[in-house]
Amino acid sequence: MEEYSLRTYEEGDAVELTGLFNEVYKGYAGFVPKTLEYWLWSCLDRPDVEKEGIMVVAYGGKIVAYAVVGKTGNIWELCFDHAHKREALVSLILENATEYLIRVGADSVTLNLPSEDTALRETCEKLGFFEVPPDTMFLSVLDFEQFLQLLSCAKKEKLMDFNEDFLIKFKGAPFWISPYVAIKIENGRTKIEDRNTPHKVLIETDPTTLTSILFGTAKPLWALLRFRLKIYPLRKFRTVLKWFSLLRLNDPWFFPKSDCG
Amino acid sequence: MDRNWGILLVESEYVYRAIAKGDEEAVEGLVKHTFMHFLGDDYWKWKYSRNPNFDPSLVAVAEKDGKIVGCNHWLLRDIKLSSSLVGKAILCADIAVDPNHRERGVGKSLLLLLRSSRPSSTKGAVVNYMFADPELSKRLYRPAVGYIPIPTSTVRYTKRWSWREYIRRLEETHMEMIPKGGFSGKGVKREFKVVFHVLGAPPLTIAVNQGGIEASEENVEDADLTVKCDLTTLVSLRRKEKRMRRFLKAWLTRKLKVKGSLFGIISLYRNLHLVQEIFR
Repeated sequence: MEEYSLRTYEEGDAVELTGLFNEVYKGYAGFVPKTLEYWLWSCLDRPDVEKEGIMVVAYGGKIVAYAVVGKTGNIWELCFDHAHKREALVSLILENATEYLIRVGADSVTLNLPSEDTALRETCEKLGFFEVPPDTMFLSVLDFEQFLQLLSCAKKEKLMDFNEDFLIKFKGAPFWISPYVAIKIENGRTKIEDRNTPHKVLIETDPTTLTSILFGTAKPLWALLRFRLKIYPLRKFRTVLKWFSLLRLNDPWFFPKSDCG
Repeated sequence: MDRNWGILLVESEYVYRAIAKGDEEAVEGLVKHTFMHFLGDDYWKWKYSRNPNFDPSLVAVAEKDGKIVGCNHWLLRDIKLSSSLVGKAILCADIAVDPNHRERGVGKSLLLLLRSSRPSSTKGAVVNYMFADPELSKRLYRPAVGYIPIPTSTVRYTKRWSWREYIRRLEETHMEMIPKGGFSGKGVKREFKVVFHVLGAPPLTIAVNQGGIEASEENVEDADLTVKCDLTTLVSLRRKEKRMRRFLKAWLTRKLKVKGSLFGIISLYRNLHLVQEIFR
């Protein structure tokens, strides 16, 4: 029976490691796809990372997990093939990472994990790790016209039976945000129109509220009841709420430490 | 202006502009001074000049009397906004302001300048995101450019076997931490000793006396106070805002266990700001 073997980084591993990273994290919001050049920069060239700190686990000649451990005590990336025994892989890597960090004089070890992976969290806790608050991520929309069009394209199928003209009017919009966005939705197709085009529904809100609604941190009904979202005519509120619920992004956000630092 | 910005802000004493040739050294020095305890000396060169995605037109600097006193770096990247949607985004990375020029709106102006500059609007980016201290974000970034916190499914785990780095930093800075009027207060003894038992870490003893603060990894027997908690609780006490309320809440919900004399508790209560300095 084959066993997992742990070794340090070797020349030529980078292509496989980049592929594993992209495969493992592609389903998360917040995922930054990595090219080989970008992986080499963000991991191998990182000031606190040496080749000995990149731990690779192979199984049957194939790389199934790796960790990029910085001398500052940060595990910048921890990746493993979900088809394998994750508890065994993670225990093997974390024990070796801790030994390595003690050897290089670090005081602690820190890593990020996806919260829904309870088995992995339990493994960490068994190894004496404790949960601390992660970095807080903040976001704002730079261009609502482009963003709404992008969202509508991604959700085209859901918008198939939707036919409506909206005019969004931003209250207190900073000067870099266009105060009006006119949108026409016809059989799933979304078009950004001139603001003077006649519209059926006027939505009055502020950029922060709309961002919160689209990223799932505020409920449209909550915004409506608190007058942070006004709809004219009000009888169209169901249509607007439905539109927002179709556009809304709900996927969990995960970011490895290498994306924050 | 060689970066095709179209905007140059001149506000009272400060000039805000794009980074130009010859600024790199000053900017690197500023970032190094602000963040060196995170990643060391080579941080700026690696993160920016060697970054395959680095675009100097997305770096702004603040200048006063010809000296660079602030900088803000943005990095363009592709990001998944959901499992099926990829868009261009700008990561608002390091904002560094010279300590002598903080609390004067320099960071905010740098953010506003980049947000309204031509390069940031012509790169096709739809969102702008950042990782930041929640308190700083609430005070500075949210009112300035409307950032909202994103619910994350990221959890962070840590394990500590030594406080060496904290002790070293404390030794370097402890004289600056002594509050005006010293540590003592009316009716309170002038010296006290606290042992922190943080889950997943060895004990840390902090001795406060007239001379300053001393820290060690010893588990002393004669401490005035023993504090048991997890790192999350300790980190929450680090923030200034409503710190006393959080302290009491953690105490009442048994997340923070304090054992010792009334004097010890009063001393800790009076010097809670030390928690911020020690565990920053």
